[in-house]
Amino acid sequence: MTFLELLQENPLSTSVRESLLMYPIILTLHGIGMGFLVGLNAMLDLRLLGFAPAVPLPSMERFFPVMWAGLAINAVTGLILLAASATTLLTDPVMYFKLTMVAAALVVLGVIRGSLGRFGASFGAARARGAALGAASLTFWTLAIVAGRLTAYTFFRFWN
Amino acid sequence: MELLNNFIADAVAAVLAFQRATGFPAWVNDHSAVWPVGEILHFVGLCLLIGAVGGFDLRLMGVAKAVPVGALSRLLPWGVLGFVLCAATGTMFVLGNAFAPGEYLRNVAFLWKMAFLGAAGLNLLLFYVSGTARQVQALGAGAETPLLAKAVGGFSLFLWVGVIVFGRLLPTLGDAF
Repeated sequence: MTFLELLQENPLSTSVRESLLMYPIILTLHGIGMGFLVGLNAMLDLRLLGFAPAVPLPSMERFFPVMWAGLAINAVTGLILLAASATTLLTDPVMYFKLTMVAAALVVLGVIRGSLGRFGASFGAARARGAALGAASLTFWTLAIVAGRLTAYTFFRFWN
Repeated sequence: MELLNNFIADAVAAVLAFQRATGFPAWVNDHSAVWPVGEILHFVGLCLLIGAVGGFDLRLMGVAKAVPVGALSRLLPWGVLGFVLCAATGTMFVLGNAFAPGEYLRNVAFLWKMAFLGAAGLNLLLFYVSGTARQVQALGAGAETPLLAKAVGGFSLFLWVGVIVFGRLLPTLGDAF
């Protein structure tokens, strides 16, 4: 039995796959977590790009706990969904692309979080750097959503 | 109840008539990229809607009080854009389903989704008609929102999460009646 089969063919993973309720509930939570994490992050990005300029950037710090809650929900539900279908999802290059994009978006979010106070001055180099981070974040999240949706399809299954 | 059943039957008949007249489902079926692209746009729209509207709801509820309300409302057009993306692609899913015409309209999860959507619309109407929307515009950093604004914000957040829940349950609850 390979590692992926072991991940997939154990009582925990099987229960998620075969239970009438578990799979749809976990998938639903994954969608809600995405809405709050990516949605609020996108608003932060748009602000960094110059929209709604009257919103003080440091004040948006208070949205971070909501984003971290979304991330926690999606990390847990995402790992469960991966384990439940390990042999298909973890052999799909699209899934690895998605995970890379999510990781990149989270690194960018961490960088934005670290210098939120410094973006307060809405001009000069700080502003340009903020806009670049916002654009990178929107790009990574969009690609993550595109790839996440496409894992349901088989166009890009190059092997197996 | 009979009224609702009649309405659904009429709606299914209308969708079928549209499908026969235009051949739209066959076109969707022939172009394998249409459905996944529609789904991607539906999810992007979801994020914009929850980000802009949900973020504003959170401020109305008293989370992130440091954010000035009027300034934050300038992000709401992005929520409208998200809604338009979702409505357009959602309509395409209903009209373009080649395999089970009317599958969505008879689906109990779809009906709940539409009911929550309608309630969110009425809630929004209440927000504007009651004058609360105008009242909160002037609220700056740290200002407390009125009770009605908190209620409208909380209800809005609840309803939009409900819309996601029932959307996700479409394939699970299936043709429940």
